[in-house]
Amino acid sequence: MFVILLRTSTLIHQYYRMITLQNISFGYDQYKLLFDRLDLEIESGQIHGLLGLNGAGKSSLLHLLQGLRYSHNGKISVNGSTPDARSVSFLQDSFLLAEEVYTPDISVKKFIDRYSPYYPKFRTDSFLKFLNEFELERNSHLGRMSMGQRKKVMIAFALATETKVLLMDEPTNGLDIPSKKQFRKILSHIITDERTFIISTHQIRDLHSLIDNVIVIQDGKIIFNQSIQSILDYLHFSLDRNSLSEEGVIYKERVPGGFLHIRPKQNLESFEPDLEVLFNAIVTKGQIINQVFA
Amino acid sequence: MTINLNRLIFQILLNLRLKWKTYAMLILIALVILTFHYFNKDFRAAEFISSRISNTQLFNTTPDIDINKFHFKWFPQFILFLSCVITSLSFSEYSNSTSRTFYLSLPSSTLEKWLAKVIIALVVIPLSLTFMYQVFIWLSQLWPQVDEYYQVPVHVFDPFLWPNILTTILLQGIFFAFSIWFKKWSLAKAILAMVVVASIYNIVMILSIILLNSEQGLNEDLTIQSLTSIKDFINGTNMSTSVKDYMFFDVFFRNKYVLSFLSTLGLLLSYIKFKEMES
Repeated sequence: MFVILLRTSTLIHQYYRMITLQNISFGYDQYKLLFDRLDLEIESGQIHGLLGLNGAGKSSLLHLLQGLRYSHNGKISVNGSTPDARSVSFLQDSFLLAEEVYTPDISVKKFIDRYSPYYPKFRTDSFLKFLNEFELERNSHLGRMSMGQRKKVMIAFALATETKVLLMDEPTNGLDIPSKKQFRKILSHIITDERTFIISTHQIRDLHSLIDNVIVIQDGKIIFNQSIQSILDYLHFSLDRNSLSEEGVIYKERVPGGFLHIRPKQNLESFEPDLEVLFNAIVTKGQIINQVFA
Repeated sequence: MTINLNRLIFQILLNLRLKWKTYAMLILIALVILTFHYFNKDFRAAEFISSRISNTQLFNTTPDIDINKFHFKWFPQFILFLSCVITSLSFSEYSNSTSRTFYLSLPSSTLEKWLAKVIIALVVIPLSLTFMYQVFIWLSQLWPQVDEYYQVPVHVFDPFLWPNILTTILLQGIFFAFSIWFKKWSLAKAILAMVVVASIYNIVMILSIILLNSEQGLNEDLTIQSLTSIKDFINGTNMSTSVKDYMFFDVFFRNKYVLSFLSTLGLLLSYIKFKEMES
């Protein structure tokens, strides 16, 4: 009985911990590591925002998770598989949408005919629906499309693969404003408990309404990993006309209309967290911010 | 290492669909050049005279009559050159990081992806080129004869054909390995490396024969001839029968073994390199 309970609890734990990284060391230069003993656990059923400064290793982390890079040390588990083995079953359930998308010089229809059979759960009807929402036609030729349009085709393709893990590197780069809105709308509709989306982005304001969990990476470490709910529970965001009242302020930033102050939660009415300001606060005063959550 | 036949076939088709335009363009260019060459009377006359002077009787053709060895001469070069160029493009979609990310992520095992390319380079392309050249021969039979020489076609079952295809196939492993190792100018680098290796190999072989008298019964003939006339040595003229036999049979087959070894090594290394490939 105890064994069964233990196994069930392990399975439940594995189910929710879709992605685990243990003690990961990785770098492009043998003597200069990008990640040094990195640990991270990512839960399923959520949209995770991966934030960091330029060169922090956001894209590298996504490539490690997709098995496109080999770590020097440590263990990575994605959906129960080791990514760098690049097993067919793993690749069928994980998709990386790169920042700069690749599309062959063929029509959208041919692209689907050629590449969708690789993904057993691919839904052509969903793809066509997404394509329609992005105002694109299936008979269009990829070679004659703009970068933004090709990106929309690839976003539609990535979402239609229905993979359990969807990794997106700067997905809104190159998209026009209506497309960004459509992207947010689609993403919020297709997330389920079994799926995990990780979005690496600099344009956090494009996606702040979508993200369930914020992960900040800096100097080869995860310096912040909290859900939006925790942020709401522990931090207080207020917009003040001036910066005279600074009692308890952890971080302040000049924004249009005054100063945005971040304080520990004091049962006061709070603004919705501004993730861009929060990111700046974490990068500059990460230790103090994390103490609030301790 | 997993392999699924359906996925493998799908992967072969994907590769062919992805690059067929490039392949078709290369083959078309080669055939246009050959056609132009075929109708260029001056060039053909010069070739005929040159073949008479060197008295090349290496091929199994009717000897000592005025024949046109156009196809015998150009078929091996056609298949060899195009196969090497096409094989050098085997991993072209992995040459930039954007497409590399996409294709490495495609749900098919590394072995399937690699094997699809091997089958294309070693089987599909040489056989397709042979077939295309047969069509070219057939077409050339329909064209008006541009000179008085009797034209000899290369038939599919001609024993001359298969050693050429074999040599072509054996070379592909080397070009295959270079195509994955070098993202740019892999063809030029492969040719350069092979010229360097072949030169070193031949120098060592010649020196071992001359200096160490390692080939029993041949050393005297060969030493004298190679020292007196390197041109005769290369052309194979003025050689005794034993030296000729040695050069055209022993060395020929030894080179095939060396080539087979290098090609297999190339294929093996290409798989390891492909498995270790990162985005």
